[in-house]
Amino acid sequence: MSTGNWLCAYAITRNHPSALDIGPAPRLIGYRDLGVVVSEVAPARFDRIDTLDPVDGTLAELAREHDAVVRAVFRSEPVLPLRFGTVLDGEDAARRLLEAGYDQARDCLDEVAGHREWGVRVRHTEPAATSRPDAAGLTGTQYLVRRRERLKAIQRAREDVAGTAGRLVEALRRHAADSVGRARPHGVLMNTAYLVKTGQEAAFHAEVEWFARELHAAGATVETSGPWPPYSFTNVELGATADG
Amino acid sequence: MAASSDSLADILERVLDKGVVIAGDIGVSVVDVELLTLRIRLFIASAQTAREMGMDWWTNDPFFAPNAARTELETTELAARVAELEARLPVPGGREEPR
Repeated sequence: MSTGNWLCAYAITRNHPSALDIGPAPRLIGYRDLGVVVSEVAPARFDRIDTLDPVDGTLAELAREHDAVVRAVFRSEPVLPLRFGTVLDGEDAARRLLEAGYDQARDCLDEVAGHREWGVRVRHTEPAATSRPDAAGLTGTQYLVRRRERLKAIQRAREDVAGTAGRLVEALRRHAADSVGRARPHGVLMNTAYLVKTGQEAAFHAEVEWFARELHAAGATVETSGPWPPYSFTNVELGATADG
Repeated sequence: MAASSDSLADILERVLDKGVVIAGDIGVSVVDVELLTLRIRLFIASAQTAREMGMDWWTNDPFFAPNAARTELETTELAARVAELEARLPVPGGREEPR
């Protein structure tokens, strides 16, 4: 039955089929008290996806689909999201996966149960250092003094904001079970994902608000995203070849 | 004031870059994730730079907003296709030589 029948795998969760509301297409394949959420997939849908130009909407569509299934499970049960693009070779393979990775998956699921992921990002747009003071009516020396003062002010503001962002990272860590630093493109001072226990969320957000006011006054903006399923806190590798 | 934004960039960053990896012969990845991740990181970096510069070009970009109009892209493609087909037509009034 399973030969040639590819299953797209989304997440590992608990084996409670009745508790899930994930729509008609995805289904749960269970092994003991664990289950993996899968759906039939035509491999052709992924054709050439890694060579797609980012202006193609297919990739975004598939990523949103993956996220939607993971979130649907997450509404009622703890989840371990699987990496996008994971395909299992039929139902037997799905059960073998849960069997081989049972202990590891179960421990990890227990760790993230009752938690949600929140993203916090601090963005600081500096005035361009190349902007020049108005030279009208100034002597050369006065002009250079003004210019140096301006550059010093930019430097001071940068240090202030970086210091406050650093204190925010530390303060939030006290309200979180875990935290992971994420990529920081230009102009982003802090980009961190936190795993927060549901009971701690109010305190976590109060802390964010408090720092956001201070950072806003210093010319930076604070963005939060979430709640997310614990995408950033499932850094495990499961499979027959994994140790354990 | 903290703004909340679950943008597509956030989703891609998590869905493509994170999550449990299946090793061994049980699972296959149909996607070259490393390459894809790199591509997405570059894209996100450029999108954020653009936003800082106030260039909201991606709001009409089908990659960033899949429902956005794709007419411009399609028109260009169609025009190219029409030109290609026209080039294959025999010269009007002339007769194509059989080969």
